[in-house]
Amino acid sequence: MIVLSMELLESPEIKARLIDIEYGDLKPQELENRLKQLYLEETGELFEGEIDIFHSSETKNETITSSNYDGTAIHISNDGHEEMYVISQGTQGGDDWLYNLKSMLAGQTAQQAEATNEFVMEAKQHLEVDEDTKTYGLSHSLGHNNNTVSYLAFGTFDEVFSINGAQPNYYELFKVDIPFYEAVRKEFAIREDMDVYDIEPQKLNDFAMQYYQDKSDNIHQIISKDDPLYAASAVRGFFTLGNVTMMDTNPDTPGLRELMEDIPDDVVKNFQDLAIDFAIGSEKGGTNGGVEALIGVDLKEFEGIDGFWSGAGFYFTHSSEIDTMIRSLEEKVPTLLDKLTPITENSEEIFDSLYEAEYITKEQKDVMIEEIAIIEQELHEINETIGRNVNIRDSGNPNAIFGGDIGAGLRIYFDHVKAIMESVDRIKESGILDNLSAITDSHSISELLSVMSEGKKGYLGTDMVYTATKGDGDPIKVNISAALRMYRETLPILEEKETKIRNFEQSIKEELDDSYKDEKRKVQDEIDRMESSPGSYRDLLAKHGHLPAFNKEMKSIKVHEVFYPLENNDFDEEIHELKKSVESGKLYIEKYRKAIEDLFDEEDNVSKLFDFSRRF
Amino acid sequence: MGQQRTFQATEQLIHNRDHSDKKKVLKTPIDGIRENDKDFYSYVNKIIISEDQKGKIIDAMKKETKDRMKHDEVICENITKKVNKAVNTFNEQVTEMKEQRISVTYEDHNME
Repeated sequence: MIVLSMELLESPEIKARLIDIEYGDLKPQELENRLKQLYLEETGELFEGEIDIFHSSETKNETITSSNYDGTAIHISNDGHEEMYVISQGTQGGDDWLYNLKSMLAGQTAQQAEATNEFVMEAKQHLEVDEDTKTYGLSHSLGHNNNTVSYLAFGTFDEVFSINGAQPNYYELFKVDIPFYEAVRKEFAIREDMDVYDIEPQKLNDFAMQYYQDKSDNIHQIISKDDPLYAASAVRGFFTLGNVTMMDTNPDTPGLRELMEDIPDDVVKNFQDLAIDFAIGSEKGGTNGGVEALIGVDLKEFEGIDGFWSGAGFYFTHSSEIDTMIRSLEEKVPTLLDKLTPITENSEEIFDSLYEAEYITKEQKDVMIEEIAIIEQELHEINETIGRNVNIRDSGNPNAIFGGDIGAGLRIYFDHVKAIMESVDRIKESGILDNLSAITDSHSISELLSVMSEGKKGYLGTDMVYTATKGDGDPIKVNISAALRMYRETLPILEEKETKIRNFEQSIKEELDDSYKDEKRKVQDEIDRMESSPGSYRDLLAKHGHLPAFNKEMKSIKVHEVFYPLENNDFDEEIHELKKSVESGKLYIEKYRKAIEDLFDEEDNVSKLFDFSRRF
Repeated sequence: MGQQRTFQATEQLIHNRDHSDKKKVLKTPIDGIRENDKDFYSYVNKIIISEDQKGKIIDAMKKETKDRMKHDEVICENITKKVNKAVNTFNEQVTEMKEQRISVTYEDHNME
């Protein structure tokens, strides 16, 4: 197991759990409490120092806000000792996936790593952390790429620690670390920046490993052999730096790494070329710009065309766009096919290996191979349709060009694009995506934690579990984190319940008792008015049939008032029951604590954990 | 001087109004209490990992938890029903209270 010099949060387990909890985007006070509980569970001691928190959502720094970087800085001080931990979140959504494509596959940007550095500087200023304070980067997934690239390029951290991290990428560092960029250009004598992609990957990998060797001791990683990201790290660009502890989270299933290592580099380079085109295009025009860079067509312009005449109408108003589309497809599709074909040629091998490894069923394997072949075939046919149309265009016959352009456009859309979409639907229906999600489970922190167990201690998700040895039946697994949360959090709940019971009592008084008195007072006021000013109530004569009223004079009104006490307003018994439930709830919490304590030996210190859990 | 006459009638002294909105006001704290109970037991129910774990201590705690949950649920359910009844009674009694028997005495000048 890794031993780190990070002092206050020493064990890998506490760091791993903290990284996972940070994904919950908790409020600072909540995160502070969770951290204190983690500390208590992992060390058995109460953390009595100060904790200050700063989240990236509080920044106005343009580099950070525009990068989609998400992180939390935690400044901890205890007994004159200070440390700062910065947790960089992993991939969270579409924007992060695009970033992964552009940074880790294409190596065209390191914006989030730059944002990491800016965030750490701002956090130090905000939390008044001096420069000498040790700063540690904690992360999972994409967060490791951000922290490590930031550390290697800017010296942001003193040390970094990660769980199932996305490895740094030498193309990305070539883009962002100027001294490394200059060293690579000099070492490999390259003239243009894009030539870096033609350097033999293994040579560039070895050079990067050597170049950053001095910093390697400060990088600590725990990686699951079954993590798909670990498998992906076998391809060009990624290099694994630092002290790495490998763990096998699914001993019965072979890892994916060997499979990835078997994919030829030229296939990966094809992926990378497509990603670079996409990355450059999307820098200018977002995702649509990326797609446009790949196929040469802005699909948005062709939305709403649903038949020949709709297409014909569109042609009259947008003939220049049709012309551009056909010219672009003519230029881009053959290149796209050149890149795609070697990828699809490997699909049988890839899916056969996934089937052999029991990640997918035989039916799913067959569907994938068949449908991928169909998609490639449709792309070929799009290419041929364009080829035939170019011949018509070159004939110079305006009527033929008109018909040809509409015909080609509609054939591409109705015959081929629709067929591709149907293939995609069949792939979805096969359920393969659900099966593949089992692979992504191995990327999770909780799966790694589940194998980081020692003795009676284990983990369920990010909660700590103790296996009880006492008792009269089989060993009982107790979620000790949940037990401490119960002991700590349920008392305030009962206090809240007491407040609500008081509110209810008050509401009964106001809404029934007082309100009834109020209604009675209104009636009584009206009675007083009637009795003191009968002249004002002459209309009663007519109302009750004493007509004509003009020659009658009101002399007196006497109201024979009867007021009954309000019924069904007695909630004393129910309120008593509610209060009793609160009081017995408090006893029940203590009883539950005692029951859990009784399952363990005294040296397990469970009693101390309960005591401390209410002291923060 | 005319002749004094008196008649008696039942008169609605004040306009009626519906007080059913009180049900919502009174049920709000009870709904809050229900939420508190739900939160309370959600903490408790995560402690023992698997439902099929057995043992004298665990069985006793499980039973007590189940009984408590049921009891707390019944209290809130009863109160909710009683709130409905109380507000309906309130509405009826206030309506009744606004109707009173009156004696009106007037002098009839037409009789002279």
